[in-house]
Amino acid sequence: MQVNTRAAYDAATARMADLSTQLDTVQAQIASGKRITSASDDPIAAAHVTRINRALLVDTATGRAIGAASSRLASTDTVLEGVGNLLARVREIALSGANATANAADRTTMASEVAQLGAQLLGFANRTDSDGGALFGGAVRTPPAYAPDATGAIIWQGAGSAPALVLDRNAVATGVDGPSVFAGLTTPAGPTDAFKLLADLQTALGQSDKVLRAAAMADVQTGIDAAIDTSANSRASIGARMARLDSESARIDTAKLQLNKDLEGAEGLDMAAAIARLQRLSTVLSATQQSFVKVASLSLWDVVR
Amino acid sequence: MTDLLALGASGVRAYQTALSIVGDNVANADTPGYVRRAVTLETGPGAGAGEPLSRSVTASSGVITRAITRAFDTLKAEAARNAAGDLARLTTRADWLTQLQTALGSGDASLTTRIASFFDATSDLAVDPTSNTARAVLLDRADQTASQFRSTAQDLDSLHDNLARATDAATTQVNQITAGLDAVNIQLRRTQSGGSAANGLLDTRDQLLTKLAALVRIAVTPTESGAVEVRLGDAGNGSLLVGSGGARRIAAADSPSGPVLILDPTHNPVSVRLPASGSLSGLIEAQRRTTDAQSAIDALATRFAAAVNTQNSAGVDATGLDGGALFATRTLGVSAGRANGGAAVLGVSIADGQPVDASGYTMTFLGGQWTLARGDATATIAGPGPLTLDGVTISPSGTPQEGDGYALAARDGAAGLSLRPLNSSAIAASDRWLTDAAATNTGSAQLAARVNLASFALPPLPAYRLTVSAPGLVDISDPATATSLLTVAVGGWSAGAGFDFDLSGAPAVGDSFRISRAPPASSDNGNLRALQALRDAQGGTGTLEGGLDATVAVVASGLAETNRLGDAAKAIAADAARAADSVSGVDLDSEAAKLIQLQAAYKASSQVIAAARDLFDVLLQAAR
Repeated sequence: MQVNTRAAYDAATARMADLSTQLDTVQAQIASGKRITSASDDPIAAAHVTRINRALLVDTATGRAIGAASSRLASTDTVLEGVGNLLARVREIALSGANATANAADRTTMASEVAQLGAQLLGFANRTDSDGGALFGGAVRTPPAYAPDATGAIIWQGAGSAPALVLDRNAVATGVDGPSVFAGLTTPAGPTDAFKLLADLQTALGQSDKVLRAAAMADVQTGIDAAIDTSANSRASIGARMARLDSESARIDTAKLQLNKDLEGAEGLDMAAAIARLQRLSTVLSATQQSFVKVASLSLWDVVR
Repeated sequence: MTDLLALGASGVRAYQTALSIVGDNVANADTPGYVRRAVTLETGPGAGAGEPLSRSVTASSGVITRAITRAFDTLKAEAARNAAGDLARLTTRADWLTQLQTALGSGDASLTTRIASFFDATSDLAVDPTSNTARAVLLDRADQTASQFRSTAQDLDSLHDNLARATDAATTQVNQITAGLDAVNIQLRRTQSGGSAANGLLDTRDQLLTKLAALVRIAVTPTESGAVEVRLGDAGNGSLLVGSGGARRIAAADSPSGPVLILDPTHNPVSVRLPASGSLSGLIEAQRRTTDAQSAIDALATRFAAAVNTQNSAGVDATGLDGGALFATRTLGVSAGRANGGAAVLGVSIADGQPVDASGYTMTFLGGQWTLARGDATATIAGPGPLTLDGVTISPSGTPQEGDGYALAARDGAAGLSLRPLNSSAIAASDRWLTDAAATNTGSAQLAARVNLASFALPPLPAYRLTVSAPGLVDISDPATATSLLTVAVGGWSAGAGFDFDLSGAPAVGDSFRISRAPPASSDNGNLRALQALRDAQGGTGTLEGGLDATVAVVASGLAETNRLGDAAKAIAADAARAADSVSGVDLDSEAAKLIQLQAAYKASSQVIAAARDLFDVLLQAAR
């Protein structure tokens, strides 16, 4: 068998070109720190990387949503704390007002304080979050959540319930609607709400007939106890939801850590191995080049005269 | 002595020829397709024919050049040709699949990223459904998703066009080569074999065969004269491309199952199975993959737009109105008639929300005016200037020529997807019907409502009150007037007015509930949550994003497989080429050795002539 000169040269250049291509690939991998530079490098790992990246984006978005929901729940919690304190004060007034030692002048003072507290309670009920949306309007964010009607009664202006955040397919409400905090109070005189209760207390304090006053005060006291319970329950439920969001947020942080680790495993480059390979390839390439020069310089034509 | 002279002369002649062949070999050492020549020397015929006065025929007869042969191994050459064809198929396919993979996008410029960021924006808006910023971001993401679908469709379209052009170019090349082969065949039949003219023709023939095999797999049957019969495919029963009757043309044509190869397209078109070798088959395979990717992307675009449009239409937008479609799904692609002589340009604008006809439109310039017609010819409008039909306005500019025509084809799928000109309030985040329960309820029942446009059991009102009037019965009344409207049984879905409602659980008598239409600026996010849920909805190809991943993965694994096969084919082709070249190629060192050897022989032959002359001189002087 004889060696075809053209083919021999072609083969040598092809070998060198192949080594250069490999060097180029390793170099690109080292520069990007990634083993996969296009999907065809490893289709299965590439599809895995796409899924991981998507899961990371979803987790980031969920994290943002949890942040916003937590902030709204925290605002609601602060307001409910105020409502609780206010109702405690109302309870004190109702107790002192029912006391036989209180005279008419005392009761007038008390009634005016109750009027102020009523205005304050309406203020609480109409609190807005940092974006200016009503906290207690349910699905209706346009303030106010409560407004007086023609008769002066305070009516809920909202509808529906607060926007829900979906976590693991479970919806977590990001707020409470007004009625579940301020209404749904049962007294011997029938169902009532906190605003009506305060108005009733004010009326009862102004009642001059002792027997009627005592009866009205008793009704109001039952109502106030119920109102304190309701607002405390709402607060407890918000506390539970905030704890849920906190734990979800912690879970997301852990999940993101794991996903990043998976990502590293799927597309990451073993830097030490890649650098060693780069070194080896460049050594082989330079050896190939030198041997090519040496072999090519051997020729019988030098002796033809 | 005259014989000696003749012997020397024959040697000089023969070695001169042999030396010129070496020179030829050396000169062509780097010529692709050149087959090394060798000289066959032979003892010459007797100088005389047994005449009484002449020498014996057996004594000496010199040397003659019997033939100049080509160092050619038909089998090895065929193996090399076929291996090169296999490699050409895979490299061509890999080249185009790489482009296909690029067209499907990666990183930030990919559909995957766009769809993911669209859904991420829905989750941002769901937390704060009244935020104008979050709405604007979501609308922008919807726009980006639509435009990414369009640009992907455009990239795929142009890839498809380029592939079709490359396929046409390849078939043209095949036709040129087969015509060339036919011409070589004709000359070979007329030329005496063994001469340098015949050798040149054979070189040309083999080069043409190599080129042809790089395009399509061929089976070659040589004849005595060196002329060849070429068939398509491996077996001898493949379709005849070049025979004694001349060359037959081929062409590529589109078919529903992808492009196919047609033999003799102009006279007697026959569809033939393309053997899986050669760059032409690589092109056709890549074209099929591209068509598959195009229909997958189109299906995904249609599914995405339909799902988002349907869901958005089910909710209530920020102004309190019913939501509508976010995406327009059809556009028109203009193509000028082939026979057009004028230079008119059509501007196309489609009014928002208009039903563009699926049959497309045609625009023709006849009798000095333009005529715009539906593709199915059910409506026509004519006039000089911009014409409007079905909300499609065509504004011609430039100078048309009588009879010029333009086709406006309806394009659905990815190419037709675009965001309608909407402002951010058009996103229907809220459920259309909101429900709440009275705080004083003592039962544990829950009320749910869902949109059903076919329900009309109740008069249309902004709100309804539901009161449990007796065990298992619920009374529906108008909260404004307290008029009772209807009494239904508890449990299961009942028809309302544009909605159905379901009171489930255990209600207590006296419990009351409310269904009200979402007000403007509702912060309910029920519809958005349903929109988000579309992300996980399973369709024919899994989730939307899963379908997209699968499309990308199919191309990527096709490319990876092609690359792997290509590496193997490369090694095989290199081996086969080396085997063929070791027979046919020029080794400069052996040529140098041969040159030295022939030079010596030439010199020796000249010495024989010199010696003969000397002898002659001696003889002449002796006779003086």
